[in-house]
Amino acid sequence: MREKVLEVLQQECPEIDFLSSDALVDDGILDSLALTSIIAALTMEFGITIPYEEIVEENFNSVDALAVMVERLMGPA
Amino acid sequence: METLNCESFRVCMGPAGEVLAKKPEAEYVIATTCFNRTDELADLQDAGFSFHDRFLQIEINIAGAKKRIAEMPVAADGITVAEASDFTEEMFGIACSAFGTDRRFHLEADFAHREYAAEVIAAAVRRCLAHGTRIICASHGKDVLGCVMILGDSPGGYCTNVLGFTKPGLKGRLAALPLYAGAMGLLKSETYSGKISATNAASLNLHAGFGAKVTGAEDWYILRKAGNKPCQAKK
Repeated sequence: MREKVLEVLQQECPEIDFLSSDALVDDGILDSLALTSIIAALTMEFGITIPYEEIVEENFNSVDALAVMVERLMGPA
Repeated sequence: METLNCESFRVCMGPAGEVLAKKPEAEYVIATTCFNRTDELADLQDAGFSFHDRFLQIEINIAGAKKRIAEMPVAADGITVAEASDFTEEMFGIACSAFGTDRRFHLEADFAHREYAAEVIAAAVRRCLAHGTRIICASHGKDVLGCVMILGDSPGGYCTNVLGFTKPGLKGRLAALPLYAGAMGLLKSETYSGKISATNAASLNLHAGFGAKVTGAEDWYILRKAGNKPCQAKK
């Protein structure tokens, strides 16, 4: 899942080095444009809805955190 | 030249030539100039002014922006954009926390004096409201996430974003795109303009996404009459 999420992120925002930080939000690496693009891309790729309550720094600060969130929102296989 | 009357002090601002000629009496004096006016730069430095910030003037063709917005993933779960009738205390609180390092409001050399910046923000908002600005807000339910204040919106005209801010944190950051995109949708003017600090990459990139063109740059130089001792904000 992590690799797939990373692939989606890199395709959507190739200018961002998603592995450079575990504080992508806190370090200001993800701006408004990147955030909305990432949310749209993850939504489409994984068929999930990311509810407003999930929009928290802990879920977006790293590739690992994003992968955990996506997996949770996809529910049991 | 214009004077902003804050609660504890005054801020006077104008073109460098006028400021140097008239020597206004205010606790903070801001002179605006262009980077290539080396004559003014020398005069400003001789008069004790120091560089404060550089602002880029941007313009956006709103019809063009609306086409770009139609292609963007703008919508965010539950965030709505609508015009507000008042500038509330909640909005003021968000503005104060949003402008943590904005040189329009932080007039001292460091950013520690938040109470002084709050006075400048309050005075700037009062002035905006006195000029009849539109207040457009992004909210999630009852929570305001950000606002833009637009001056001079008229059919086919030229409007100006005089103040725009979102709540610090991820939800506020996420609200920026729907806020500005939503605001574009509500505007009647042909052209949107604004001044953005050259240090504000997030805002510059956001506006670039809407097709912004940079049409000029303005350097601000500041003279602090109290020198290195900040003015005492009233408690």
